[in-house]
Amino acid sequence: MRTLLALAWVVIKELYRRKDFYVLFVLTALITLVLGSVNFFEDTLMVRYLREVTLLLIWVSALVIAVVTAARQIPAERESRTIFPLLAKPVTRGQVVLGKFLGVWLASGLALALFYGFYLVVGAWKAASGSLALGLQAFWLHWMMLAVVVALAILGSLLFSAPSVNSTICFVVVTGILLLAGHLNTLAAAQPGPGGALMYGLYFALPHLELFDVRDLMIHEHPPVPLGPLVIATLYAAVYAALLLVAAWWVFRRKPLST
Amino acid sequence: MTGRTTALGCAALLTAAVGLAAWLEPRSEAWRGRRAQADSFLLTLLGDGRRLFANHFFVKADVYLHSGFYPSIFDQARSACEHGLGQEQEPDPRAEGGQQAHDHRVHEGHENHAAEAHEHHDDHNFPGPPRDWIDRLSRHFRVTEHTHLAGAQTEAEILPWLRLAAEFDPHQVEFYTVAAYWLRSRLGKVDQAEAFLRRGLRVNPNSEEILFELGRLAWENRKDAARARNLWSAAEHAWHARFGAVDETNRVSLRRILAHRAQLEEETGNVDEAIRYWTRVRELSPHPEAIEQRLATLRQRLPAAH
Repeated sequence: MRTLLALAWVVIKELYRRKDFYVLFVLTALITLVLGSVNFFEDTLMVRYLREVTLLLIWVSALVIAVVTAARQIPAERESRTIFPLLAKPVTRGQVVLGKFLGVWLASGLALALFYGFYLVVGAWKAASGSLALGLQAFWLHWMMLAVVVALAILGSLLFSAPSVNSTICFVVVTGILLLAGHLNTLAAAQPGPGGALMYGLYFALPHLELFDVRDLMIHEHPPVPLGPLVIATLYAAVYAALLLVAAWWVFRRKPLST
Repeated sequence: MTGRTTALGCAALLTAAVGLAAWLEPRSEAWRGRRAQADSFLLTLLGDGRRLFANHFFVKADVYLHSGFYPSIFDQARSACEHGLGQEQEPDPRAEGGQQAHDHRVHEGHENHAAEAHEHHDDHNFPGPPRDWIDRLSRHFRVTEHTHLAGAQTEAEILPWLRLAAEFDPHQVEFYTVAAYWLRSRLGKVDQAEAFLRRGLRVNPNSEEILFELGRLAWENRKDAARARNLWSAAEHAWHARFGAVDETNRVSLRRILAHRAQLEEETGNVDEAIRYWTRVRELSPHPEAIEQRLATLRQRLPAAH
């Protein structure tokens, strides 16, 4: 566990040394503040459009931070050849994969906490009502979704030649899942034959990241999610993240380290 | 690459961007077609694509009105397959005059435009029963309760999207009329509604719909019968200039203008004029017997009026 935490700590330090997070945070804050100061029909009570834009920016920023940070972890170690002294220590390849995952996931969580903190500040600025419990649930679900995304990007970093390729593929896959995965069963039902069966197969095989998106509930001030479904969603994310990490470990075990 | 090279590169790119923008801006005004009518260079660049954005924002306003309970394009496609598209709704016989009937119509019109396959929310359970365990689980994380924005000025939440829609496509008059309806009827912002309608009228000077809405505002909110009369006359002229003859596609809009004019004349005691307008409405109405009853009542009042 100490090894894992040591590996994770390095990743967290890397996040606050790099400029990605600061740039994205400043951009989010700037766009939100400009939009918040726009006057629509001399009404100061409108807040939902601002929530929508802020949450969208938070989702995009968190995704960028998680994918880009995860995608460069192992390739950077290989490129700078620091992977050799690392593995010369009593550290297994499984621990490297797990430590990198833990570091990126925790770092993404820290960044996410700051973003959601900013969201609360914006809500207070506009004197908006809203459920704090739902806000905490949204943060938790978002973070759990990032666990799957980070695991996916780490697996991709072992399969694809360059971090840029991996990042692009991860963005396309995650965006595709977020937009379409929940509707694959509807499409499958309308598609007879093997096409429909293939879509059903994809529907059950793909991680349903859209489950973790409760932005609409927050924007339109609906009640929080019941505890049962929240626990099931958490377990669902944990299972997918674990499967992807096992796959990453399996690939890493067989991968020659020479560049 | 050194920091100095990077800084110089950024400065060069910035200079090139500003220079290109300054060079393009005056030239964009000379471009032909609808692009030339755009207010800004960004809108000019977007071209007809901005109408897509405008429609998206208009639908967004409808989503907000229903507190996020809205069918996705996949639900709409499924609904279209199951129920069939393009079924015209029978006009409401109550629409001939009367505030209540009109509120219903504008509200309904707003919803229908935004989601033709939405079936006016008659099908409140559009997702249907859950198909599998993932579907069942996912419904805990999305909006499954159909509520409308109502009270405490929450209806204002739809207005930013309507404003944006009008910015992106200033020639879509429905954006102005729907926003004005909410502003004056639900939020009590009559001045804002009028200003927005007048802004729409400047861009669409011959719009009978905007003139009609301005007339409603003058009569229903400002109680200014003379101005309402003038505006509805202008709306009628604009209608004739645009359509010429009555057919099934434009019948409702003319009937609406005439019915309001008839109602105004009736309420202000101009029985002759009211009879004249109701007679014209009868010719356009799918339920002439209801109008006939009204005309009979007015004819009884005629001797007393003289």
